[in-house]
Amino acid sequence: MGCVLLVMALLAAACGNEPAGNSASRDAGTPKRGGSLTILRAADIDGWDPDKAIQLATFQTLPQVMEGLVRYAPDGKSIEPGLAESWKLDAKAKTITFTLRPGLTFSDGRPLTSQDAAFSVELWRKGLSLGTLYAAITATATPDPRTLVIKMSKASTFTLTWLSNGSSVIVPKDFGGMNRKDFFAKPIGAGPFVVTSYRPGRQLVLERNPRYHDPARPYLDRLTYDVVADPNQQMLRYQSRQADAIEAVPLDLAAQIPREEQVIVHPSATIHGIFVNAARQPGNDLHFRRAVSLAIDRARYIQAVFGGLAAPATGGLPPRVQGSVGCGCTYETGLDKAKRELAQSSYRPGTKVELVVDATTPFSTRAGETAAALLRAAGIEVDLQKLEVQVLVDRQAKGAYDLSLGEVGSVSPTVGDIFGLIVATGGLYSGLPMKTISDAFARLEVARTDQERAEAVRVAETWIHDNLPYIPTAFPDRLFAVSPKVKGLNVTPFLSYPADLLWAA
Amino acid sequence: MPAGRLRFVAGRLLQVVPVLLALLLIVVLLQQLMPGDPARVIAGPRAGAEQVARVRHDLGLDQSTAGQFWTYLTHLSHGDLGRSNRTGIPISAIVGERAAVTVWLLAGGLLVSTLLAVPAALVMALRPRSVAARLCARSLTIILNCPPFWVGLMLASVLALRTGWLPVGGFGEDTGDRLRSMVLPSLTIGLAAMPLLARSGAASLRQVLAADHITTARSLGLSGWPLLRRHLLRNALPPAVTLLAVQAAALLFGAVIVEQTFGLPGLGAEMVNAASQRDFPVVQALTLIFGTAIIGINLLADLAVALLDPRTTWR
Repeated sequence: MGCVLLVMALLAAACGNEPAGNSASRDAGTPKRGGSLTILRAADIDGWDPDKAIQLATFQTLPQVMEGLVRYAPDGKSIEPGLAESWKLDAKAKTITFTLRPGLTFSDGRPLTSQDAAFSVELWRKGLSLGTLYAAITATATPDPRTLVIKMSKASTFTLTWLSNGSSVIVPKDFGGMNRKDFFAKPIGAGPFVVTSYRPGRQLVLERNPRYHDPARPYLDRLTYDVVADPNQQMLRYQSRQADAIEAVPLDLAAQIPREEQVIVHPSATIHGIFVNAARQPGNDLHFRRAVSLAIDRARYIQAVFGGLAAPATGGLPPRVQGSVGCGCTYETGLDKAKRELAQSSYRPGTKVELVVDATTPFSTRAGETAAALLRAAGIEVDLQKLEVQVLVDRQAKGAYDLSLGEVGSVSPTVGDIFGLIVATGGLYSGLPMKTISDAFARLEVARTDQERAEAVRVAETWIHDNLPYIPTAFPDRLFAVSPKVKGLNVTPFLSYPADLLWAA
Repeated sequence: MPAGRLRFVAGRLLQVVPVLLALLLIVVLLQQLMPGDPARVIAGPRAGAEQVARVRHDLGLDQSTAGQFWTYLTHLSHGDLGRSNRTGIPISAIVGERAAVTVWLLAGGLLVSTLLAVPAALVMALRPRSVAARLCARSLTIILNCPPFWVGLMLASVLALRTGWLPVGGFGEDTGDRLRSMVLPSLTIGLAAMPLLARSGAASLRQVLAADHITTARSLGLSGWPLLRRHLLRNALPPAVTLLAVQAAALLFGAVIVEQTFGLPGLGAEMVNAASQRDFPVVQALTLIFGTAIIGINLLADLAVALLDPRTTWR
């Protein structure tokens, strides 16, 4: 998909903290080989099958074991060589020719050739969940063991950037003679790490892949991810140095992390917003949706919900990735205007409007309460329902809601990946026709220059602003807790980091 | 074993079967009523209706309730607990890996609660007006009012975070680590279970103390440890064993909270995780295991009581 539906599983705010804006750990000195680190994460990966990737942790972790042809640069702004040492677009930009690095092997010692890469491309294309994002690819060719040619139906510049996302991984041809399920139970790749042990929902231990193409990396001998859902337990383990870092600390707990140990992504390439069911009343009325948008005082909302650790949404698509331009318009706020819009809508005063939120985190329930209070002030009778995440997702998918709070974020250096999710989910479950967004994506896909890209994105942004299939409210920050032992951490706006660059002080 | 006792045990075991079947049926029925679609969870937010339907079919969720129940029973009769919907891992492997944590936790909890409750019960029963008895009674009231997760956090903050003597959470990798990692969770769960055990034990002892045979024994000059061992504890033990069995069941559910608090990868934590992810095969299997454990513990307690109490008739 390229985007992840988080449904408010994360985060809240520490009062009074000014965002530091640093998304890298303080690195002193040259990287040192050896050592181990333990990182805590609240949610486990979705498994090793790339088509099952939903959680950010999955996009982050898969390429550490199964590297792709290209990878995102540590700053997240561009792509750089992965297993392919170079690539070339033909004059029409409809063919990408990748040259694989010489002497590549999988971690079990088998040679990695273009045949494996071609098999992997087919695997991505046929993916039930993410396959549509590779739709431009029509065929592959392998003229020699180090050359992979990807042919496309159009000059898709998006495809090349998208290939740096964490699900475009290279696996052995025919899964090395295994079936798909068995292979992804114990995956083999050519990434910087190998899986030493994986206990789902509990712990993932990665160790240095001695056959990795870069003999200098990874710097660490061992990297352990402990899955700890309880934020208090996370904090205790971090404070006692049982763990060296926490991915995405709930913002409620930010005050407990010393400033010098905070790595803040400000803002992340994430949209926090109110999803509207536009397939039924009152959400099907644009005046009502405008009233909702106007009722949300974004400055107050951000202070109350995120403790200031967020930026007001200036567009409907994620910021800080390739193609992010904002809408060039304003998501206005004003109680009087909201009331006027509401008066023009088909909404009848007193009618209950369900606002469904995730009940499992204090952050999401606080967000729900804040949004409900602001909407009530505008005259919308909100019935706040706090639901379990899975129930919430199910109700969104079935259209059994009026309003819901949620977050979506990019998982690659391009804003294009979020288009896929928006189109596939009917405008994040709004039910509105997505033709404009589809068309904008088609333009974005073949954009050759930043200007062309901006024009395509602007069309989508304007449509989102004018039609409000969802109401963007904030671009939240993400906070990593990083002990002085951890060096080399560079978190991209889309919240991935190359783990092979981590080193232990 | 005498025939009467064998018949007793066999009879009790047979009674277990319909209870377990009923338990399973209830779980299957409750799953049908639970909101949230496991197929949607697995298929992901981008999946269309057709893909979700395919996943539903693969999981057998498109079968009728009776069909699902029958399929489950058929597999179960072959010792197959099924596979996790989320991870595809055989549930027997998940249980095998996680059961040890829960067993360690329960054993530790029972040990702590018994070690603390028995002396407290004796003091409160034998010296009811003493300062120690009053202190015990007050302490029990306070402990009873402290939620286990809060107690756990406090213990971890004070005894682990500040001193570094013990880990704040996790299960460790070797036996030494694991023993250390079990101290605080065992203390937490043991403290949660202790007040009821101590109070009931004290009440039971007081009842026995008031019995005629104790008065007679005292009039014959028996006192101190001989009186305690031969007459008091022996008669107070059967109700205490029954209570201990009930406590073990309570501990099993307490383990769910304590495992979450200390980040222990036990069956309780897995149950919570599986239920929240709508991983029904895991929920079913763990319900079956928890149910069997509770029934087994009660069965053992019944047998122990029958053996301890000479008035038992083996019918």
